[in-house]
Amino acid sequence: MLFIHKESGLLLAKVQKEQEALQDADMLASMMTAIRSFVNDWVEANNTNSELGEIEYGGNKIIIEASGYSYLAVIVEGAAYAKTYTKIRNTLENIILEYGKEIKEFTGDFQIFPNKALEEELNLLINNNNKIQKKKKIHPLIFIFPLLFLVWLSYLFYQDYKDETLAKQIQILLQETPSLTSFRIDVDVDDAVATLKGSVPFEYYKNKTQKLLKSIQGVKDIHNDIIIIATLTDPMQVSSNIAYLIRGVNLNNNTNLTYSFDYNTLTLKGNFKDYKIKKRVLQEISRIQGVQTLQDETKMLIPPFKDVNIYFDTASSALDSSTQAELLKASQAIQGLDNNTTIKLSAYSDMIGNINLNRKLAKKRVQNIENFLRKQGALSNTVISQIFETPPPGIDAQKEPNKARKITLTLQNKSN
Amino acid sequence: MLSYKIVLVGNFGAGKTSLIRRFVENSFSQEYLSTIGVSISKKTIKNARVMIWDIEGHTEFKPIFKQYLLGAKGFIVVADLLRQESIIDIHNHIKLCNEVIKGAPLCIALNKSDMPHTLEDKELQIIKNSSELIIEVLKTSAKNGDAVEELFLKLDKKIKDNMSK
Repeated sequence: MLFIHKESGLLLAKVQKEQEALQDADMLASMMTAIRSFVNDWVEANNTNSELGEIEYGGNKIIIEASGYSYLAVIVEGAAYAKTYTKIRNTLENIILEYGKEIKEFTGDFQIFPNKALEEELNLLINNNNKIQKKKKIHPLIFIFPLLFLVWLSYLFYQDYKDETLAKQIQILLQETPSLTSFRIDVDVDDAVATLKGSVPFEYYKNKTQKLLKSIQGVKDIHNDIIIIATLTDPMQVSSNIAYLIRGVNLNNNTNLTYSFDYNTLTLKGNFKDYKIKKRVLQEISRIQGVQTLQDETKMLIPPFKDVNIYFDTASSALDSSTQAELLKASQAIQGLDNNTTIKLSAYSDMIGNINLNRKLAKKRVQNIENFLRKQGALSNTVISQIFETPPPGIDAQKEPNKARKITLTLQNKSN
Repeated sequence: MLSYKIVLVGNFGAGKTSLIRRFVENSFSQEYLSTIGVSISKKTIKNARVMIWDIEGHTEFKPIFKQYLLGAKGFIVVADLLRQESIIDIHNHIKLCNEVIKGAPLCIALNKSDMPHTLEDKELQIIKNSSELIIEVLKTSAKNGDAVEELFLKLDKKIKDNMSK
């Protein structure tokens, strides 16, 4: 930056970057003044009221800003910004305002001319301009950060999309799994890790959900935060629990139970063929939280029971193997009946020998049968016996004594 | 440190450029002389930085460009002592310089003194007396260097005297 005396072309002050020091700035200042004078004179001769403001050479330029008795020539490498021109103008104005008198009275004696102060003023411009340049100069690396940010953002969006897709997939699977449909299980997938939240009444459902998720491809890990709440009071949940229980009972026992639930009282309808199943079902229902009252309108459908005839050898109360097999079958049938069913054993006689002995023998035979039934089938039914001193009806003891030594097992229902 | 500008004026072919070349080892861009009509040299004389403007010589068709005289502290009017019209024109040059810079000191260089000539020393005095502004009239030779340094030093001394007033 050369601050030049307009008329003489003498260099009043100069400021330059250390690495770009000017060779013979004095001569350059003079030469520039000559050129400036030459051009200005030509411009003036052509009646144009303007001055030489800029000289361009090989991609660089010399910006010339004149004022009063001096002018400022700024050699700029490359392009100059509008701000640069403004700064040059402002600096020159400041210099003129402050040192106008000294410049006007410049004699050539630098001992009295404030060139150092001028140079300080110019330094402000060169530093300031550097700042402008620096601001404008954008390092290519600066583009990398937004680019990386975009890539990262895209990755996040993609991950989000993947997680969302996975979450939907899981939700559909949960909805399509009948035993889990009724539970409100929330799924959150983050970075392919699924977190399950919600509440189920039993551990079984929690584990089932976990197993189900393992079958989905893409799930890296499962955080099973499902909690087990035994005291479910949500009417929908209670209703669902009943529904599952009844459906399970029907499937497993070939029953056709139906129910209605008014969120307080459960009315159970249908037929049971097995008393034990009924008992178990009623027990299970009593465990369902939220069912206040159970109204049992079910019926017991007792399967047709064929009377069992047991024959004995003469003077014997032993149960042979075929008898035992038949009794076992009967005991199993009896087990499905309720406690109101009474087992009736009717003992008949071949009428051979002493009546008292025959009675004793009949009692023993009845006792043996009852013992076997209780032992094998753990029966709790009441057993009643009737001992006849005669052969069964329609049997001639003398002709068919082996058919006369018989005990018949029949069932009697108190409610019937 | 002092700094000032001097301008050499004179007719075309008087030897201004040769004089400067003799005085200054390195001169700046001689080729500009014919382009924009000026060539600039620098010489440090004692503690002064002197910018020496060599302007294109006056011809019949091309007058001296006044703008180049602006801001000068002194002038050297160069004439070819072998050419009468060159010597006659000295007054015109002095007049022009005084018009541009009133009262600026001048030295007159009657150049090519190495060549056989008839100019007598008393004529030098006549020239000197023709203007108060003339501080010295010297016969110089750019070729052998006669009085070249003296020419510039005399002007330098006067300028410095003026500046210190």
